[in-house]
Amino acid sequence: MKHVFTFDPDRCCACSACMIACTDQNDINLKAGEKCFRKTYDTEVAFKEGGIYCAYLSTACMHCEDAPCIAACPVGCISKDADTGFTIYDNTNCVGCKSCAMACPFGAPRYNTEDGKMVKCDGCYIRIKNGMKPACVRACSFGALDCLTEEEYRNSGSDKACNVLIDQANLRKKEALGRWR
Amino acid sequence: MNELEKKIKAKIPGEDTGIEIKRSLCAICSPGCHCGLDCYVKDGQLLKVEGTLEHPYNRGKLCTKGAANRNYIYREDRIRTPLKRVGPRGEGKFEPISWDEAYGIIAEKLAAVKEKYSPHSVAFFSGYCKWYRPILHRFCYTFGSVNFGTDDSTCFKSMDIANSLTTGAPGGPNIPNTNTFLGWNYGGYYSNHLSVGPVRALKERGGKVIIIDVRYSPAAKNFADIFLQIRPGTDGALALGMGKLIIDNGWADMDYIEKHTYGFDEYKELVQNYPLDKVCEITGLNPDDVFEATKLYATNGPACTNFSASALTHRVNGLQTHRAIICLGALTGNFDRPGGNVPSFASYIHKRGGFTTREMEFREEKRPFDQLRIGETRFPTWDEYCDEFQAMDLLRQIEEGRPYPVKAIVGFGMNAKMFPETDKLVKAFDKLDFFVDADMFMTYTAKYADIVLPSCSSLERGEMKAYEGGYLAFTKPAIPPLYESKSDVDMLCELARVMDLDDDLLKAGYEACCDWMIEGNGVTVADLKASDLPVKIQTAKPVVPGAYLEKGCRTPTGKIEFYSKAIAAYDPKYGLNPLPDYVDPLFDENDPETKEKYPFHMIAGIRIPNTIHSRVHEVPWLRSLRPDPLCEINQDDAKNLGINDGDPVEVSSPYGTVRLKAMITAKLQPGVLAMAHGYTEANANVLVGRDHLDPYSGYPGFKSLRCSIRKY
Amino acid sequence: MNKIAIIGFGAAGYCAAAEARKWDPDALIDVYTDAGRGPYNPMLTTYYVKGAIDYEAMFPFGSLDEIEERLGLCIHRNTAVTGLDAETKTICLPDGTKAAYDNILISTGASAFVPPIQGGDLPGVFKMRTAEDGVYLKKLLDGGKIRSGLVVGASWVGIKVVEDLVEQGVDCTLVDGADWAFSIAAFRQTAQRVHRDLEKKGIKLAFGQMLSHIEQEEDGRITAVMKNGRRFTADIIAICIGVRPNVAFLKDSGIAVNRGVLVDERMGTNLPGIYGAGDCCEAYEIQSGERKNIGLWFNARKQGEVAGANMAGKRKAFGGNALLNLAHYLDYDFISIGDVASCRDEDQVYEYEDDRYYIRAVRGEKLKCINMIGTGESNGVVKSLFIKYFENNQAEMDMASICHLKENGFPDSFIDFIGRDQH
Repeated sequence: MKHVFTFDPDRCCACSACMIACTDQNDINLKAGEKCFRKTYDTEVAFKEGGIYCAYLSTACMHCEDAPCIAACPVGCISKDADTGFTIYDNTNCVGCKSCAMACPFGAPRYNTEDGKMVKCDGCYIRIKNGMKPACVRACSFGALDCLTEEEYRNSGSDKACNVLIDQANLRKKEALGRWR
Repeated sequence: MNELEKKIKAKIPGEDTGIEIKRSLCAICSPGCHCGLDCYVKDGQLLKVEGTLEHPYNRGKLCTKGAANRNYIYREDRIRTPLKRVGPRGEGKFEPISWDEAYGIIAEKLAAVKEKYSPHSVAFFSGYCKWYRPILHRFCYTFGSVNFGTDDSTCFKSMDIANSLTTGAPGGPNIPNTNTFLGWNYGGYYSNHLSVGPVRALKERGGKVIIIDVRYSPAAKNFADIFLQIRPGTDGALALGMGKLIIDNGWADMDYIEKHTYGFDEYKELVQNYPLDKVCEITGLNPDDVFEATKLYATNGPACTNFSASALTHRVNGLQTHRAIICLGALTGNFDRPGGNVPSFASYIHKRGGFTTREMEFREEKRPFDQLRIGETRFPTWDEYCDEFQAMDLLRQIEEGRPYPVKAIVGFGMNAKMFPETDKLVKAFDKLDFFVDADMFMTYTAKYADIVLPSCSSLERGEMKAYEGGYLAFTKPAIPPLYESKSDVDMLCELARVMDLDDDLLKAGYEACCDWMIEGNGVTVADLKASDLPVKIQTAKPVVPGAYLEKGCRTPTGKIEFYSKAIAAYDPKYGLNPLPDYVDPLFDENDPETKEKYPFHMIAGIRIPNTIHSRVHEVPWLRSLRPDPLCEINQDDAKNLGINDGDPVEVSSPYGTVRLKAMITAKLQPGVLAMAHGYTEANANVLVGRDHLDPYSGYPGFKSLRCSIRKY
Repeated sequence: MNKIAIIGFGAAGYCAAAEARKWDPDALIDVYTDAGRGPYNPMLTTYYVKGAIDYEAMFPFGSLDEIEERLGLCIHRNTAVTGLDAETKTICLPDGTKAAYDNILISTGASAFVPPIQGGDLPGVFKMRTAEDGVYLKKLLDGGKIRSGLVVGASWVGIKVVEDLVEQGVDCTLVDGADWAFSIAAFRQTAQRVHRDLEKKGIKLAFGQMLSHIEQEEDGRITAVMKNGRRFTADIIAICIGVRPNVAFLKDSGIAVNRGVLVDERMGTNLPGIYGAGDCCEAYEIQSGERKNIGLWFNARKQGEVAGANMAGKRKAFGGNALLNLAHYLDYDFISIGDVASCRDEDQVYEYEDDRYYIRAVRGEKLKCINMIGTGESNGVVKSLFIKYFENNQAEMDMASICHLKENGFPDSFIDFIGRDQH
């Protein structure tokens, strides 16, 4: 069954439990310079017109339907998992050329400094196939991150799918901090 | 990779992968929480953790810290064996010894102090994670010392005392039935993650949220209909100002006041001193916002208030500030009604299960009465409401030896960084004849101990735990104790045998003690252990709003006391005020010279998501989220001082200096600095003066003190 | 039945075949390739040389047999199409026969350009484009006798050959006819940093050197002689001065060709039923609105897909095409986004440099070009913003991109500089 990651920025606080869970699930070796596949942001964005928006975000691979990284990879490391629709990879032949990073609009691919190979979020697709939620979703206490089947997603009426979410900065101006000062 | 290898890599539990889920609990933070934990285990190794979905308390949720349990447990610096210090205190040079040898030394040294001075010269102290407190407490009393102390000396109790003085009962916000949530100092996201869901649900059903905070927090962003960014430590003035607005505008519930409160007239007179313009001058708030917030709180049906266990009370005016906030609930009839703040009492170690245990009797039956506790007579409200010494007087008593010397400390998870002027306290350890500390890691404090005992984590032991909703649990180890580490309570019970204390129950072991404490509830430890999940206790009763008031408050007058009869009864020499009047949070640091030299208002101990006190600063996964200790500073202040984000800065107070990095933010107001506490290399509490204390509770003013900042 | 011919079988040809098959299970798909092995990726040859991948990995779609079987194609091996009659949609084959189709795709790719100079065929002189080129260099280097190498052409391929040589401990010199490296994409200031860092790694550089011819030395080495008389002697010489689209066979076919085959958004040529995709064609580029030959593996695959879909009766378009040059070599990342040649002296320049990054960007009336060094993991974010800017230069950036850039150490001033136009 195809799955969709959803993210609701109005529920997030960048607590980074998702990052810790990702690290735990994927045995990320921080000591060796590895980074987990998810990244949270607690970022203050100033508008030129005044006011500051306090963004809290959690991002990882968006598992784009038409994932540009797949076509960009010169050795064909990246593919779609037929069941979940997630963008998965086998980096045996990865040459570390960073073509996938150039293709990805979200900065999702990471490079292990040890072997120079690309790693990325695989959506915990093996967990999904075994009836579990992705580790990051499981760790989100606030309902900001979720992973739904396509059907659940359609029925939810949500517009928060990660791969369609382009949260334009200007839509956030009304929420800028200035309104309380 | 074949399918099975992929499953093993993905840590899928099952017979084929050999991965099993074992149930435990996370004891990284305070026992007020302690979430159920699913431990993915293979061959005795922990592979991963998740919150237990079926657990009645956390329903699968874990916070950032809890999610890092594997990294916490397998920290490389776990203490592996009992250790004996061989270098100077604090240097960290130890040699391994056997458990027998360690027990032998402890027994001998404590007996010597008892012999030479008195049993009271041995202070027993519990730090985190507190779960062994009843056993340590009884051990202390059986040993013959009055001096059992805990980190309650700086956490939770001040709020608790204020509750006891005012309503006679703690009262949590009943969010599921409220219309308005007054999130006074409500952080939620970073400090009480399970509270966020109910607030979200309130918003989704159309309820209103007011957030009052010094910082523009995620809760302010995600929930606030009105956000009051208050000047630090001025909350008491705001509460009194709101009280005046409520009375003046006829929003007070006069029937309720008449029936259930005491001292309204005196209170009414007091709040006349807090007109809106004056309140706004003190708090830095906009009068319209204060008016609207007060109106919303008082006129939108049931409203409940977040009671802050530390943020508000970590000020020298803290206890009275909390009293002033409770008074708003009394004015509007929101105390003990559905959707207001509803009283309930702890069953076992702070947890309110709706049933009673003999936790208190367990220690009280052994309590000696032949000496004053440390700090006794200095903080009368503390003495009356707390069955332990006020540790904020420990440093003085070690230094001065008055009224009697303190010569030994038995610490479990003791944390010197909790104390103002930490540097002076660890120096004073030199005056001790003996100091033993049990901990999982070689902490800053443990380095000063003569003997260090290796504790195991909650995942490596069994422990009893009460949960809200009428539950009791007794966990089983998910993995065996690492190295030679042991459960803290086993150490105490074994030590009781070695020292041959006159206490058969303690000698019988932890499970026997637990059975004794829960007797009468229709379950035994054996029953609890038979379940992987908390067990519903048949004697547990749900909280019925209104029942408490019906019976009469546990206060001197049996009513909610605007005017505290208990405080009025104290010797006037203490200068305590029965009414919750406001004093400046920096009143003791406002002389012109200090003001000029230290112009910033420091909040030493803000909450950030990857830390809890000093507990997880050295957990690599969590540390990676914020590698450096940071001092948050408003962007305009930073600009004026020529400080850029990430610059090294020196923060000083009249008591000490810390060096850390600047974090520039718009979330703090100008003039305010904030930093997380507990770092060894940048210990916020060296900035705090030992006498910058709340005279009622003895709590240090951690979150309101004067500082300066400069680039170095 | 839809009869489809695919001329040339690289990434574009393969992706077109796969996409056409996806939408039209019954179509007859004939593939003509001048090679006898599967589509390879020209950018992998240097990775094969240094042992980062096996020989087979240069062929990410598998062998011709596997592909033929998988996609149900009829592959004509070692068959270079010699001509095309666009009117009748007929192709001419080497044996003189002709075959007619409903849809024809021109996906003949590009070849490394070696000027017809004296000594160009001496042993030890090589280019780097095909799998065979990679095999040739690997054998030379694995022989262990190569001590010095000269690379002519500081291009994307040239720098990768330099990397192969340096990693093998071969003394290496890089020369180029232009005044600095990557001259078609790099600002002089960017290139100065590139030069400095190459020299730090022991690579000798010479610019403004136009190759005249190559001479054999008596000791077995070879010497590249420049038009200015300067001589560079080495054991081997790589000629990496560029590639040319393979379009000679289209002469007089009526198909509009500039440098490459001119195509529209749907990869159609000027003549109906005839398509072009990949390195042999010129598609619309977002910044100039003109058609440009942009040889990128990604473009080849995407253009192939679009052509394949359209040949199978689907409507699909290729968009978001920007001038991009990415070089990743010797732990160094350099990317250029946009048209460096369009920049003028009077334009507004943005420059930033710290321990990690060098950034230089130029704006005229509109955003023109961004050079970045050391920004590897963020390149996609900036590229995507660049493309979004040209799609709508009034739109705000999305919050996730702003956060990504800020948290990854890009200054606010840079984010402003590449953001929407200010009025």
